[in-house]
Amino acid sequence: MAFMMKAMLLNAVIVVALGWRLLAHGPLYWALLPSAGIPGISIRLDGLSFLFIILTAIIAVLSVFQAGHYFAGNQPIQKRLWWRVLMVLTGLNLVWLAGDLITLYVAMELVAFGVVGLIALGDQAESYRSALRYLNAVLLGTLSFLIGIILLYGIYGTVSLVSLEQQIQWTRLTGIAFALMTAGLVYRAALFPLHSWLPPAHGSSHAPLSALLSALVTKASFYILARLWLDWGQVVASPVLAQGLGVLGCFAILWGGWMACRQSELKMLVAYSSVNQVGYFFLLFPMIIGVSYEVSLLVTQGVMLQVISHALAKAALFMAAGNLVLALGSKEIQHLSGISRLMPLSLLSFGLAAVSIMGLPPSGGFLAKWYLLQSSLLSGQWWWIPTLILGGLLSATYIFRIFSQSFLEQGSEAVTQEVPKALEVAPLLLALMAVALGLFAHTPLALMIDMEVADGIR
Amino acid sequence: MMTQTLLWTLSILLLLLGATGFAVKRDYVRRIIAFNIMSTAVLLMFAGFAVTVEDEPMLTGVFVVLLLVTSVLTALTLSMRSQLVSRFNLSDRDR
Repeated sequence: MAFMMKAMLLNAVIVVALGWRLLAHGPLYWALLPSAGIPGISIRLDGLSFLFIILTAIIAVLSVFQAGHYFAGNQPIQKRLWWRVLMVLTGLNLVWLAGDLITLYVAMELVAFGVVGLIALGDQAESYRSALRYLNAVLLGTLSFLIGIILLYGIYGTVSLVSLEQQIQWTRLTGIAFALMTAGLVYRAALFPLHSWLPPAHGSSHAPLSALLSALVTKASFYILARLWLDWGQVVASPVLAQGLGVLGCFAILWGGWMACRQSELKMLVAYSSVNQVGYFFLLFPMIIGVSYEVSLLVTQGVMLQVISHALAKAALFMAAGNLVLALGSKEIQHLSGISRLMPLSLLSFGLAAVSIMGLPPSGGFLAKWYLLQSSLLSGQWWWIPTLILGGLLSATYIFRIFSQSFLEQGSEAVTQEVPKALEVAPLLLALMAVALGLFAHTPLALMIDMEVADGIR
Repeated sequence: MMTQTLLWTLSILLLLLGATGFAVKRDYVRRIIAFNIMSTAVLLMFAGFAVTVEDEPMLTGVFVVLLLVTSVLTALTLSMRSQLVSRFNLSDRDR
């Protein structure tokens, strides 16, 4: 724990240094050994990647704090835990910063190795089964991504994202490569109907780790996908593919919400809510292809806001749910009765985070959905609007299921375990940030837009 | 040019073989074998490009990375599977 806090401090120093570099000198593209012509490891730092680095730093420090208190006194698990967490965090930061496809591939695999270890820490038959299912998604997803990389390398002779952006043009083989990469990343991002590995994996691991997994790890694949589409989409993506992704996103919103309403376990409900919220991300793709610059800017802002607010809110939800489960000694929602008197603070964090998940003002989730609504009106793609409204109603339904149960008075004689006060700090902070994001969204969005790697930088 | 065509044909055949195996088999030992066949196919595809693209250090690096990643993924899958089978006496078939 003390060691991890030092690591987090080091991370904070690096984040500040990167931020200073970005604000003082603008975006950066840097490749190791460029003189030898080896596109080895290369780094691309711009507004969007810096935004994700800050987000990772915030969520990482709070989940490490939470995990340290959650596993306090459990030395064997702590011994195995920390290096896996560090592996995931290293991989994630490398994903945000990667400047070429091979680095991206390695970073994705690094994340996957760590995540498998974290899921397996649950140490029950169910956790190993979930880990295997997650590995399935990893095996097929990255293989497909890799074939895409190889095809692009064969055609253009480079894997650097910056030079590919300049050289790429529409050919049939490029189209196939792009489609393969998209398919692989969609599997890794758990979009409907390829989502079935996600709920067991997130539901069965320990609460602070589920927070880390669902707040950050699912975002990594989506981030890569969004980056590729924003860079090359105008040239190589077909509108049909884009609309298809949007439709799948709608199905994810509805199916995830519906399944969340039907779960009997608290953490599984929260996990299905991730499937539901991930669906909103995929509305990005139909609204950046073949539309005006204003619309694509608006929808990019909306979706990135949704990604950030979902990360903060979902981490808070998982941590608060973990506290409730710990206090009750039961995973079931129907045993929640009377918890409102026993754990008011955790329930408050749960509620605040839920405000953002449901998309009520003034939260970040509200602003994100507002932007999405506006951009679907502006682009003339009105058919996304019913799903947006219905999705909001569905998320309100599954959230209120938990609240109506926890304010019931009868049946509250359940023996409760004392939950350390320190465990209630991190979810509250995260939930407050998710709500406040709606009020202070201007700064991150401006950072994202102003700091793009210009075409000239090599 | 002959070599390239040969490598690519072989690679596509192996890829199809592996994909079929992955889709049809439900237990993880067979699946991981299928995955390894597919990654061999990917390596061959890459080797096919080595004939035309003149960037040798890059290719060697990528080869090593691919081999490393594939073996770690195989090891992870097999160890998860063996936990499930030998500690919990459960079947490793994916439901």
